Amino acid sequence: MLSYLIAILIVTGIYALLTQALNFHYGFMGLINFGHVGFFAIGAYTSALLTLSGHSIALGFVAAIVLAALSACPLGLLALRLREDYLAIVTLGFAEIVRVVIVSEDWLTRGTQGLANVPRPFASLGASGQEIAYLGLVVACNVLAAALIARLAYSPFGRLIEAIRDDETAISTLGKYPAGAKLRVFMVGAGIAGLAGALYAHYITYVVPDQFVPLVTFYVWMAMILGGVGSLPGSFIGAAILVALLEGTRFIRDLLPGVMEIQMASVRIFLIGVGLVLFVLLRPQGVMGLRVRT
Amino acid sequence: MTLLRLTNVEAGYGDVNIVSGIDLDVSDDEIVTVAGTNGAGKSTIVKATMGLTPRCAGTMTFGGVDLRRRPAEDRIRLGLGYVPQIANVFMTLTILENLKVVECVSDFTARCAEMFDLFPILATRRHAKASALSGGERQQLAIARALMPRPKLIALDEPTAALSPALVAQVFDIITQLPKMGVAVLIVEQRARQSLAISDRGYILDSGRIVMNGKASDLLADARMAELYLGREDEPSVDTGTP
Amino acid sequence: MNGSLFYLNLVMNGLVQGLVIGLAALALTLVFAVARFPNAATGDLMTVGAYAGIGVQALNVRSVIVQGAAAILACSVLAIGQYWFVLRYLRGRGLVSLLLASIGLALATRGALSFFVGQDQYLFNTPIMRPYVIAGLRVQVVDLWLAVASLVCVTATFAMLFLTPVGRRMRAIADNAELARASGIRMQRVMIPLWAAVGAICGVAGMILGIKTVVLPEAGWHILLPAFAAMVLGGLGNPIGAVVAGILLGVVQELSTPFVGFTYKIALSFIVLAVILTVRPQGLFGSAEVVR
Ligand SMILES: Nc1ncnc2c1ncn2[C@@H]1O[C@H](COP(=O)(O)OP(=O)(O)OP(=O)(O)O)[C@@H](O)[C@H]1O
Ligand SMILES: [Mg+2]
Repeated sequence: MLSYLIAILIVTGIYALLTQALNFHYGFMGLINFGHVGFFAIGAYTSALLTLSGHSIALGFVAAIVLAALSACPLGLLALRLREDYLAIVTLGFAEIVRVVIVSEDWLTRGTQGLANVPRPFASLGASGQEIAYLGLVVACNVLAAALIARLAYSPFGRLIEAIRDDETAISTLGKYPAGAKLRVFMVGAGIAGLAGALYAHYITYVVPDQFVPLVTFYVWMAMILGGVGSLPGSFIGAAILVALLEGTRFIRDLLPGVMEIQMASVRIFLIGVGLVLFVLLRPQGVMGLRVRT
Repeated sequence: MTLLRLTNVEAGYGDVNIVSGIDLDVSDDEIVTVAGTNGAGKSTIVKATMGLTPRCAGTMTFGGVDLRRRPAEDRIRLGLGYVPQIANVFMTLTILENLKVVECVSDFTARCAEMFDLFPILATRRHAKASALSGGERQQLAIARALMPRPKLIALDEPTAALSPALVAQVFDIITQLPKMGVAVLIVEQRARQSLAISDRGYILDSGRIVMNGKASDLLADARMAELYLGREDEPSVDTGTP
Repeated sequence: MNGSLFYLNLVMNGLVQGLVIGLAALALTLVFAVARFPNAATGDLMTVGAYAGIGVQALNVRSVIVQGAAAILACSVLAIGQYWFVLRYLRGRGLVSLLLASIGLALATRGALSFFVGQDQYLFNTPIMRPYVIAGLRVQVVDLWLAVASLVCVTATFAMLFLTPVGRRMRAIADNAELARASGIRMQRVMIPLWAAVGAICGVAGMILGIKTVVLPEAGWHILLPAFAAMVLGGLGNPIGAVVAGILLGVVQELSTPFVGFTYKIALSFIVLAVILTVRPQGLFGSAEVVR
């Protein structure tokens, strides 16, 4: 029971990290990122591949962050030139491209088979000690990310961000060009998502392309809406509710005795879809937490 | 008889009111000018009257009907016409389509012919896209579009902005004819002197509040108000009458 | 000689694929121009259409016309339902709310559908006919009929947009929503026909997709991304541009298969999109004949 609780907390922590990053993108900067899972996947595969080829886990984590952030750079540059509605579509496509590359380049990623035996840190601590230590790592990463975002959001840079969000043209005519700030926000958020990917890979200990479908992005959006757009503590609350809901759908299995296992996947997708619709309909203050730009 | 009456109206776009404490009325044979500096909230008042501001409170009646209960798309049915300050025609539609798309026009062919009499330039270019019109022609189309359903009152938001002096005269000329056709006019103008010259009454707006109102001639004669809001008298101005 | 024939045949294939993408992009564009959001439920709407056709086929009705009519009906009803029960309430709530709601609708649709039909794939039993061979170029008879069907669908859509009062209202809303309201145009009177049309287009697109490939619960979702790309390339809100861009993307995808392999097909439309947007941020046909 305790180990189940720890496992849930670790997964929640990973989602919280993703939600923080998305909140930084959308809640703080208004960047409509629908390709979050792409950065997550890049982080997971980078760290898995590096550690599997004998490098240290620490190096894997750092590389995961750096690579995810770098992958956001061309995307961010493109985003600067585009209207916000384009960005939603372009990022969605980006994440699909990442997944397709992972599926196709099997010399590197072993395609749909995926990578197994990704090492877990803290092996010397024994089974339960390892879990607890990992939870500690996840919590530490969350605290660091929150501190970084808070620092950026409440610094002069943060005030610049807010000003950009409110009135882009005014700022650019003032001479403080918003492009650099936007790009930085995009890259920092992507790096955090990459870190979440590395944490995920080393916890689950295997990675396959099916873990990185667009659904994950939608989950994170749900978490962000649940917790409140633009609210950093909300990221944690939202992630917790999301994981509770996802875990809850496991128990629906027991309520629907006539349903076969394969149909459960359909039921889950259906419920998630309905859930998403209901949240948007009934929790407008979440979506409207940020002044939506038109 | 009072047609439009705003009592203690406040309106805005986000959390803050742009205008507040607005008391304004227009009778059925009047031309009324709303003047004020840039950003004073003139357009906001007109938009609130049309039901197009996200925030709006206070009392608004039109011909005795409570406007606040009617969504924007129904106000035209009460007899409210509107020419916005910007984007006042459908650019991608032809001139004829711009007129046809307006709801509650009783006899389209006859009304259309009347509009083409009033604005001959539109008749010759009826199949042209509105985006192909010149600024002045577009302004005429915008007024024609608003007049299609025979409104009882038409609200014109800076109908002469960016027009050449000759066209300004022409537009003011058309506006002076409207009350005779049974259309009351609420006009927002930068060219406050010219506008007041053809108006019965006027309101002066500053930072979202009405600071002065009265008969147009009194406002024009008021030295303090002239200095603050109407610009210098020796400013190049155009004769509003027909030559 | 043989080499160029090979590519010509690929172009032929690509054209039919492109029709599907183009129709999907047309449906997306109508919604985008009038209701102002990228409708992520479009792909799954198409899937429903394909399954409706399969359902009629399972009743031993062989006529593709009847199957297509069932697809159109099913999709229109579903699209109107999505509008009436969900999207209607989100008017004026901004892009993100609507996009998320449409993603939710897409997932709910797919989940419900796959619950009942399972993960097995279905096929349309189109009669096998000898292809026309014109100077070595093989033209499938089915493809010709599908092309005719798409042409009819596109023509009907444009006739609605440009020749009917409701189409004029749609274009007015797309052009200037605030002025449309001030002109007395009631949103709902336009939205029901709009969603019916969107459903009809998706029904036709779903049938074509099903006839050309296999019918699977994910089939439509995989068209969504290329269709998004085509909509953006077409100039976001420009229906003619969307159809043309969709057909072009289909051809480019098909032509590239020998070089980049099958799996990169989806990615390709986005690479094309990224490249073109870098050069022309307004899209290929942006600002030319734009509806909005
Ligand atoms: N759509 C909007 N959203 C938010 N604020 C707005 C909007 N439209 C106008 N405002 C703000 O409301 C204030 C008043 O604007 P309004 O357009 O009513 O001024 P105006 O008197 O018509 O000025 P002008 O003479 O320049 O037309 C301005 O400060 C403006 O920034
Ligand atoms: Mg104004």
